[in-house]
Amino acid sequence: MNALISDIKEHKGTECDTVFIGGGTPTVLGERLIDVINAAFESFVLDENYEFTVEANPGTVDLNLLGKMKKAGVNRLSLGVQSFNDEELKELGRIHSAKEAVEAFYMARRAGFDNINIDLMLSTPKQTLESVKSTLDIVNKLNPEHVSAYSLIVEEGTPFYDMELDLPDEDTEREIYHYTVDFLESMGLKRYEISNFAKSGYECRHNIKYWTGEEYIGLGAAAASYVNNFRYTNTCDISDFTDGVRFEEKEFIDQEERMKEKFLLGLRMSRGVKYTGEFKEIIHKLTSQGLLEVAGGFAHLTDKGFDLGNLVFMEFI
Amino acid sequence: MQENIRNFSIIAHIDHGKSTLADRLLELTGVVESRDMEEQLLDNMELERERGITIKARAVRLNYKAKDGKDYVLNLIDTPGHVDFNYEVSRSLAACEGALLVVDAAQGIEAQTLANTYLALDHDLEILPVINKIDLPSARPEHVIGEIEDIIGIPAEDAPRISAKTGLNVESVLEYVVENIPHPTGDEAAPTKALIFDSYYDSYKGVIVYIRVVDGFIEPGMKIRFMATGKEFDVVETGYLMPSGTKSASRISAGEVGYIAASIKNVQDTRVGDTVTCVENPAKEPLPGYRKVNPMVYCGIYPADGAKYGDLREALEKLQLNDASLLFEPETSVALGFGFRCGFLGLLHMEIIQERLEREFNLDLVTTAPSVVYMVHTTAGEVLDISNPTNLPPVTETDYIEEPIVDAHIYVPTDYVGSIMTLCQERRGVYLGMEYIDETRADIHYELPLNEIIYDFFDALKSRSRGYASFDYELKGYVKSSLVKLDILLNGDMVDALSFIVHESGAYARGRKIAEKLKESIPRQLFEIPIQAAIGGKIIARETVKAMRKDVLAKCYGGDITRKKKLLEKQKEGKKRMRRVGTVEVPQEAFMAVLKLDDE
Repeated sequence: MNALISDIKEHKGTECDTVFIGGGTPTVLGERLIDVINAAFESFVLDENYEFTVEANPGTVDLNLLGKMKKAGVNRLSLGVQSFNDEELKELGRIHSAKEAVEAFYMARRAGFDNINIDLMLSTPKQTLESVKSTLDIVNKLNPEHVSAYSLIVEEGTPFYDMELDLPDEDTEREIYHYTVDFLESMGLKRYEISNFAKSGYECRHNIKYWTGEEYIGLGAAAASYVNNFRYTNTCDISDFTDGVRFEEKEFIDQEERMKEKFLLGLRMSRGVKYTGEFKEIIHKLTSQGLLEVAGGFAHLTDKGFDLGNLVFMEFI
Repeated sequence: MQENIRNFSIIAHIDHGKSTLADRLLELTGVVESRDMEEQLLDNMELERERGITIKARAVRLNYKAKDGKDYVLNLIDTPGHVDFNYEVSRSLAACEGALLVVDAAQGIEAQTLANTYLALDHDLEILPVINKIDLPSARPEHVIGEIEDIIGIPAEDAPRISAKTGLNVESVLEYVVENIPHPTGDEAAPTKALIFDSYYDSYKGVIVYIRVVDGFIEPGMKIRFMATGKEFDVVETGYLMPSGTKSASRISAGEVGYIAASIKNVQDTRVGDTVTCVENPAKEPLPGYRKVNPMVYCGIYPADGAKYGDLREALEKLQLNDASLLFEPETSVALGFGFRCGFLGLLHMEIIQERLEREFNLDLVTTAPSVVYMVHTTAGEVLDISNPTNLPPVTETDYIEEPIVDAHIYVPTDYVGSIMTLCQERRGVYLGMEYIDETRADIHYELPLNEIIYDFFDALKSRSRGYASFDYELKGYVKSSLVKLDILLNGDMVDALSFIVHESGAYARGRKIAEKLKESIPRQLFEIPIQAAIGGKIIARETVKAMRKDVLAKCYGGDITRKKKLLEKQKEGKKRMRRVGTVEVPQEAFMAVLKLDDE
């Protein structure tokens, strides 16, 4: 905590227009979270039209804390709901219930948040299309400004990988994803990135920076920064971090790599990337495979491309 | 001086302690201090790594002062311990007057014990049994001695009971050799006759030829001729094979074992079993027993990365320098690109070469299903040797096909006789008989088609006998057989590298199984892929790999980009390792999948 706050203070005078406190559950800090928020406001020179997001776990917030966050200047809240189905939540090892998640959402509204994101997880153990439908019905009633819906990917090296999980098969998984996309779009939440949906004007400006190659500074253990064409990653060892260790990895992103990342990251977004004839062969191959479309000076994923994005991204590695 | 020479081999079933005993004999004769031994072995391995070839002492000369006070020269000639190298073994044995038969005191006689003993008996060798591993709690030396006397029919009561591992009683083996193995009785004045039993390539001296001089002598300056190949060379150097390496000597005479160097560039000129003679005063007849060794098993070997074709060629050339029985010629496959069709003495030989290519030369390989050599009689009256299924003429032009069969002996505990016989029946075996070695073990005798044992027979044998069965075979001849070519089609295109020849009776089952295996090993792709097995134009099995529905990273934010890029990189690498066959991407494992079909 102290290490983090002193890092924030070291960046005194940094100009920025978005701040995002997340990764894990910052609300578990309780009142001390307010100190971090205050430190950020004191140090950074924020644009008057700033976006300041804090991630919150429905099981660790109350009206008091939410009110203080709002008062401190936070104007966007991201609620890690995951699901409104208790059985699925239990499978995921979440500490909150569906009921608590609904309560947390209403508390946030009462505290004055008018820009709320709900995080959902798709294709989790025991999930069915039916259970997703009922979760989405609740989302519809709550009517958030933004939804993130992530398909669970079990990666090698995570605890899930070695477990025998009762996961939906590939076909059901896609059915769930497509249903979710159609449902949210019909609610007026437009898919602007593979897993992100927002009402017009409520797209997360902070995250868009990652996909458009803008610079950012990450503070705290395991955080990453992208400054002056270098991408830095902090050590993920907390005790090393408090001992003052910072960058563990440093990667130079040269001109060529920047071009590739423009596509690799930019194509995640529905609008795609401005296309002026780069990577001709690759783009041709991908369009002929029906994964990509070039129109109006932009290259963007097709619906098939949204399902098979890695086949597209891989070409820019 | 021949009275003081003893030339002998050690023969044994695998793991019965042959190498350990050889090491102990070296130690005892003082040529290698035991503490130096480790170091020396390591040195040799280092050299192997550097040159990418095996330099293995296949023969070694030991000096021994016996209890009678006289100095003896003991030449220990090593033999490769596997059926694939039967011919090499027979040539090594032909260079000796006697053999130590090492038998494990716990396990008793096994398949190779007998096979090697019979080989040694064929060469009229004096066979001296040695009972090893008597330190084991399960050792039954008296029982094993009884077995040797009953089954092999040689006296074994005086056999030294030793433990090569602990060194117990090993010195008695040396006295036993001196007393019981006859000394050589060649004629030094007769025209030179020397038997080649091994050779290796040295980058400075050319081919080093290991010989046993039977009559006459060889010395530097002499013009020699290899009687089978007809090649002539001037001898540059002669010498003995000491444990520490070669040691030059002015002459090698009748009865002695040594090496010659004669600026020979090509190991193919020095065939094991050939006779060396002197050009000026040549021998009338070569020594008996030479034959040209023909490969029994063939397979296609391709570099996983097409760009490594040149590296693969170089590696094969290097291996061939020391292995005249390895054959290879360039071949092209529609599916796999440029590679080589390689011929081997047998399955083990094939596996050794594949492993050496991968380990010593760091090559990533794709190998096709091994094939035997079929004799195809065409309607035009020609006889074709076919070792690549792709080259099989169309059915309309084929009169009939013959396939090689082997004579196989399987030694197995009586409990497993039933399951092993079932296995042999499944593999089209013809039962020839069975003998009980003792009340717990049997020798099952079968005639088996070679193409039924080259895939996974050995694995199946082991798994159905809990590892207890041992197996030995030799080529018996060719018989007429109903064979068909089984083709595999991916997305409608035939994949030549997956075709193979199979007996009609097993074709349907095999086709179905391969289609299933391929379905498991081919990942989902952009479109649906039908997998079909076909005989002639007729489809006999079909499976489908469904189209890929999802492959996308759901999350990618600032802190994650580096890691996500690594994930994509890994995925891309995996894709690169796949072979593009028509429109389908096929992983390397798929080509191997057809090899392992016995799941029971």
